[in-house]
Amino acid sequence: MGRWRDAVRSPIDRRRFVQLAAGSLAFGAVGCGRRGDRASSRGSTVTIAYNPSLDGPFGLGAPNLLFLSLVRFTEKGDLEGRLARSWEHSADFHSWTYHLRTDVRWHDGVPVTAHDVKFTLELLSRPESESFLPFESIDVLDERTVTLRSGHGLGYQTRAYCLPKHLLERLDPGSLFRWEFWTRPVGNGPYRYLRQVPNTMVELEANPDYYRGKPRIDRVVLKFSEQTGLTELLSGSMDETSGNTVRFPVGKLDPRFRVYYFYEGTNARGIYWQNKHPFFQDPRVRRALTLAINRRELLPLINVPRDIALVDGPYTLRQLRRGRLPAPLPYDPEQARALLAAAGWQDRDGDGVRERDGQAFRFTAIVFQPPYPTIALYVQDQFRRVGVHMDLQPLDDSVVSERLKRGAFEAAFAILPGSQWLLQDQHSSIGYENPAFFALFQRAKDAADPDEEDRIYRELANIVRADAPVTFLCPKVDLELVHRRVRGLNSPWRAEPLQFMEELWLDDRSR
Amino acid sequence: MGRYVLKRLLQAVPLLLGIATVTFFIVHLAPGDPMDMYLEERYRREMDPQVIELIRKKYGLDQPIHVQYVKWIGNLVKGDLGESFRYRRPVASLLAERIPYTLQLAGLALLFDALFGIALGIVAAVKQYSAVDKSVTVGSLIVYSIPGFWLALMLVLVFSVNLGWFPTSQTRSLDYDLLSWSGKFLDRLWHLVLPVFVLGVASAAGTARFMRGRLLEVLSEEYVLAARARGLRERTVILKHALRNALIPIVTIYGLALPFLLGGAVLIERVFAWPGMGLLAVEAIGARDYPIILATSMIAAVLVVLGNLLADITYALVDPRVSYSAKRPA
Repeated sequence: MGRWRDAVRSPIDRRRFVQLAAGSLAFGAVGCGRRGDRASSRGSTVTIAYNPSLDGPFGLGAPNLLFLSLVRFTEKGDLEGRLARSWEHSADFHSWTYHLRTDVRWHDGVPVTAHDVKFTLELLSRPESESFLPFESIDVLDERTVTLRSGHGLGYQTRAYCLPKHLLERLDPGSLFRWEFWTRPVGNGPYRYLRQVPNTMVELEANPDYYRGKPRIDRVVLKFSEQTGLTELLSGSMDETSGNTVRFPVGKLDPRFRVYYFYEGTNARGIYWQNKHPFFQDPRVRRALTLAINRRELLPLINVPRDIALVDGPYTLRQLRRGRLPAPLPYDPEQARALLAAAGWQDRDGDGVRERDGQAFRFTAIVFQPPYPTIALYVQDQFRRVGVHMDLQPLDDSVVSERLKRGAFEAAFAILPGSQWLLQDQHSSIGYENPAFFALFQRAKDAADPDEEDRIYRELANIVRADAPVTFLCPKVDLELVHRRVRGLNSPWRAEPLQFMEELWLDDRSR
Repeated sequence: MGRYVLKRLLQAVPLLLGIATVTFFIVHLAPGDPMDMYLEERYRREMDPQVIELIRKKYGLDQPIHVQYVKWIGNLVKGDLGESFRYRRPVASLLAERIPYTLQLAGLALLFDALFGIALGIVAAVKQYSAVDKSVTVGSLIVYSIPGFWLALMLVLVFSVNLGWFPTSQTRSLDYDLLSWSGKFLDRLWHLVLPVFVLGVASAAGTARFMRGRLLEVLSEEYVLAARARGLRERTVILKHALRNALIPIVTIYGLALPFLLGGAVLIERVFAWPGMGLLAVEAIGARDYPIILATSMIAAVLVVLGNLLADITYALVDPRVSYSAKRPA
């Protein structure tokens, strides 16, 4: 046995062991030394989680940092000039004339003109751009004045970022997404491209010539690790990450971070009812089920603040921003029971589940990704209290989407897209037949006057409140986890650092 | 040997075509519309229906599935892997960018496996039934049983989040381009430590178990006894006589290890945001990016076929009893 031991304890093995140990120590030393990576997210640099696969005309590597749009919406939904100094519109809101600022230059020093605006909007009017801005005409009146005519409202004009004609006009618009330009963009916004490390990050620096003055945060690093954002944040190598409210353990958060909530456009969380299903044909039943859910109590379960706006039907962002939404339906289980009874659903055998014509009120709801399982479990309990039994079938997102499209469901917990296009597409799959509702939807789509659009949406919401073809549970709210040293953010309208970077600052006492 | 290799390569062609066909239909039969994922991820579902139709048309998604298949297989034969829906770039260029990262990870994990797995197996066999042997046996079983993604998360939690010794993700530091040549080299190594360890440790545990068993078998062979009887030093007996023979079946294992490691790399790359082929494939599956899913599946299939072939060839090279020549025994 001694010889076996000798074989292992030979000088060669010992030397190898020492080499290995030295190697490990070297790695450890490098590792300890490289805690500077944490420091790189400090100083006057902010490091943000970023998904590079979304680069292109709309992603553009954080467009708000690099490029200016003509105008943007304020927290209250009013227009605020960016590239445009002032503007006027025709009485029907279809024609808009913008007067551009004279003090905005591209990052290469060339002045921004109305020709850049025309070039950009024409480029983005091409179907290949996937933006499809359907302008009827774009006329340059002079170097700083441009008139746009469109059958649509304001949304398109505010989100179109102006691109430099002098750098792009000779490129093939058909290969727009593959332009080398997007890897080293030249913009006109508060930050300009500085450098990049392939597959790792892009670094931007504050633009000293920005028309509103140099931003207070000197550098912004867009780190390509959105998937690992939480661990990056916890390890101190990143200042921000965003995500789903239930996936992040907000309640147990490290005090180094702050949570900011924001509405994800006009998308909402809700329940689709298969309106053609015998159980849900009667609007009284659908309304009863909506009234049976205590939606305020649901919010903390999915880590959403209790004071967010509740909605019963489609709405515009302007309504949400201005707080001009109709009062939400109350939680009223008594009325829910009465409506179910009026629709013929009674618990005659005392088993806690209502019946009609000998058939128990039992159905299965398919359930989308988190937080829908949490929501569905809560709603299941609420329905049980009014004598309705709902089974749950959590499925892969793609399967839920597929079945929603085909109408192959009884009920479904999923996202209710605020976009009027998609709701219109889905009306047939949920079996809801109401020509007046869809005619109104069409009018909303064509409305250019924002007041008129809000009025139509109020009418639409009233119809949904009465008919409940779907049940709106709450607006879709997501969150941003941000290091507390980054100041100037608030919920829900200034929650996203990338949107408001030029107005933020760092408080290094908060490290 | 040359004829044998050629024959095997020719046999692989119909096999790969079969795999391509089955993969294509499985991927397309899976529920989920790529456009849904595209809209969800990129535009939060807000897009004009006309544009949606144009995008469908651009990627041929408006065509019946058999038409899509014929078009895809035709392009595949010509070496055209198509264009990614998600990245809007040719799949070949994406793969050319990503594969080196995966090979780097898998290659080093394989090296880790070979160094530690074989060494531990030898130690355990040489010191059979000792405390070291028992520790190696129990330790390898535990490590082999731990899911890689869980181990990766735990290591990130301990060594990155709490201790700050290693980076949580990615392949390079933010100041990589500002480092010296040696600094860059060390920086890359520093980023490789955790992912390589996680990817390599489980297979090293398996190798150690296999090596131990095989070496114990060989050590009981008569020629080992003869070597000892000739008075050779124990180290010479083990390293020169026993080990060489014990390593032969290990060659077969390593022939198939690359596709296995690539499979493991899929999850590990995800945990460490390692921009390799595995991460690309996982993201493509989520986004129903058919061209990438199909291309990465085909690469995996090719690697399995080549791995098998390589194992057979190496077997013949290291074991004189195995021959693929056409000569028949007299």
